[in-house]
Amino acid sequence: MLVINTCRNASRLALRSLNLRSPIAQRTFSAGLALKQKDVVNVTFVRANGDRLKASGKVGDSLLDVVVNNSVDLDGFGACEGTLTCSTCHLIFKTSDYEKLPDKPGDEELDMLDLAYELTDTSRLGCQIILSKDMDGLEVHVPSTINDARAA
Amino acid sequence: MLRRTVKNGLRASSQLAAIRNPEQVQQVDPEWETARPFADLPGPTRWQLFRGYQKGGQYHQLDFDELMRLYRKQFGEICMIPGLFGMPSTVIAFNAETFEKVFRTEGQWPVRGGAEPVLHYRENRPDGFFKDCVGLFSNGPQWGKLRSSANPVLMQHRNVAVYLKPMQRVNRQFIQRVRELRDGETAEVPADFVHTIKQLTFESVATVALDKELGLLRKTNQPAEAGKLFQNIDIVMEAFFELGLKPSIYKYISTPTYRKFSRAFDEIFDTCSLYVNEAIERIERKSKEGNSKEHKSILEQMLQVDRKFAIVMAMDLLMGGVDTTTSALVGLMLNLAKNPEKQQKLREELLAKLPSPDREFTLEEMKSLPYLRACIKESMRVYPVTFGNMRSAGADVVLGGFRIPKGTHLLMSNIFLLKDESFYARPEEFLPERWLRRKDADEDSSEALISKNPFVYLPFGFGPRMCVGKRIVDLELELTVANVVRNFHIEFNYPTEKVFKSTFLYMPNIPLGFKFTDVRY
Repeated sequence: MLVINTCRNASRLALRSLNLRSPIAQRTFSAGLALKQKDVVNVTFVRANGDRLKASGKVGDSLLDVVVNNSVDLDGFGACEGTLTCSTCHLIFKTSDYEKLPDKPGDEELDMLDLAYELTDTSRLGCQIILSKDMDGLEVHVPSTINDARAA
Repeated sequence: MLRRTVKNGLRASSQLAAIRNPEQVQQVDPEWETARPFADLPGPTRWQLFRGYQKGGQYHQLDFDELMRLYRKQFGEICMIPGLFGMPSTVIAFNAETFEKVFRTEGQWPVRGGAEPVLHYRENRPDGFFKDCVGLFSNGPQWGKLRSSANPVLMQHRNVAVYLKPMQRVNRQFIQRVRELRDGETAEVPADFVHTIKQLTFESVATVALDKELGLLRKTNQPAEAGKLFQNIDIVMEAFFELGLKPSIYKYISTPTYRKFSRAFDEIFDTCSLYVNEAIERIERKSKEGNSKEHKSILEQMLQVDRKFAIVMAMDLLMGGVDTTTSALVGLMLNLAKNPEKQQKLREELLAKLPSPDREFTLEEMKSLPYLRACIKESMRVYPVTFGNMRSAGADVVLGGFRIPKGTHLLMSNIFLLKDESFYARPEEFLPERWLRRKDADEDSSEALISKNPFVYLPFGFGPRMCVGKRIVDLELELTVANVVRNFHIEFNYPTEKVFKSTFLYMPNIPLGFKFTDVRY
């Protein structure tokens, strides 16, 4: 069953990446190895069950880009492709990390956060967080309740 | 504050966890086994429904909101309206927990029904124009692909910013037009002012979609085809309501209403094609000459993706962006006119940013106008543009204690909750303060005035299938209201009972003799 689920997830992600590859929706699919080491930012996504999923992106990527480009197994994450119409890329930061984030959430992001599950005072939407070099080693928590109804 | 209460308010969250947890092998709604079967849903029988819509029947000639009120009274918070003559059956829900569950389980490619008459028309056009592309009315992976290509053009914030200037040009024309139209003595505009607002909204969409000035707001030489276009949009909306809601056999035999609908649609198609084709010629000429411009119209950007889809999108924007935004703008002007102290408070916020009447708003300035945004939100609560949202169930879910199979058409009507005291204190009053966040509020009243469940208020929907024009409409409403309020004191010295007529949309239904007097600088 686990194998089936994994295959299903993989195919879904692949399909989604294809969708994203329209000419103007070009994502920054980072070729990790080709990058200069100094531009790489490592991020760990901690799932509610404690699983730690390591991934990396480059400076300028959003946390949603990191999830998509690394095919991080977070079902339902980023359903609206970063257009701020859903809250499926909801992430919870440590207080110290949250306070260091350069931009405060804008009105559109706050409106969507209002609709997020398990909202906390250090919640943000991953699509709005842009990686900078000093975020290397960042750890973010993924709420247990991301919408994966599509798997049902 | 609000965010914390939301968290506490999510009663259903723990029960839903099983649907969401990817490790769970059996991903079914835990309530499913104990829920009542679908067939037990209350609602009229097919015969009662058919009879009810005939002359003298209980549903005959009711406004849409009256119909919803009656259904709710007769059947409660959730009911099933059987489909007649090949139309799908629809489950109507009136409570916020249901809305939340539906949106949270809608999946990656949410399905929306309710556009059957449009789809029928597009599938049956003799020239087969829409054969390979019905646009964003489609569903499933096809919709997903189209929406993904539309998203970067229409929904990205940074992209919408390029329309700031052209939209303000249209605003200036509108303000000039108001000065021409208003009576020299009373300063009131003519009763058919809604027509001018439609010209404004159409011109605004056209400048964004086609990068073209149609000249609708000019005093003279208005293009003849445009007046016809507005008439046709009215006809389509009216007929769409008839065909979409009332029992009709149009799928089998072309009924008089369907013929009216399809004739009006033909003419809209022709007018929009004319505008779109002109724009395409212009774009192609320009690119041959190598002229690069600082911004590209939506049509121009979409043409780089897919020609057919670009044309369909431009048409849909032109059609979809007139009545909806007109309704919202009329609501706003009425609310501001009837609440002069709120209007003044808004004006002070605007003038603090922009003390000179000739300067235009920059994007930076637009970002920090919290009271303006609060006025817009509150106005769409007091005068909603539409009855609610439509989706199909994205999974087998239990709603209101009943098993709702995946794919069931759902109509979620929030219009009663928007005026419900248990959701919004002093619900009949226009209180923009409700929507101010703590950082922007000058009195800590907002918390007590707003709904604990944000799913009650979703004028543009929620999730991947949220209104695709949302960013543009936000900008359009903010700019237009800001520019009107810093130029004019708005008054409305007539009764405001039953201002709107309700079909699928709420459309202004009374003479709109607003009084506009100049703000002195």
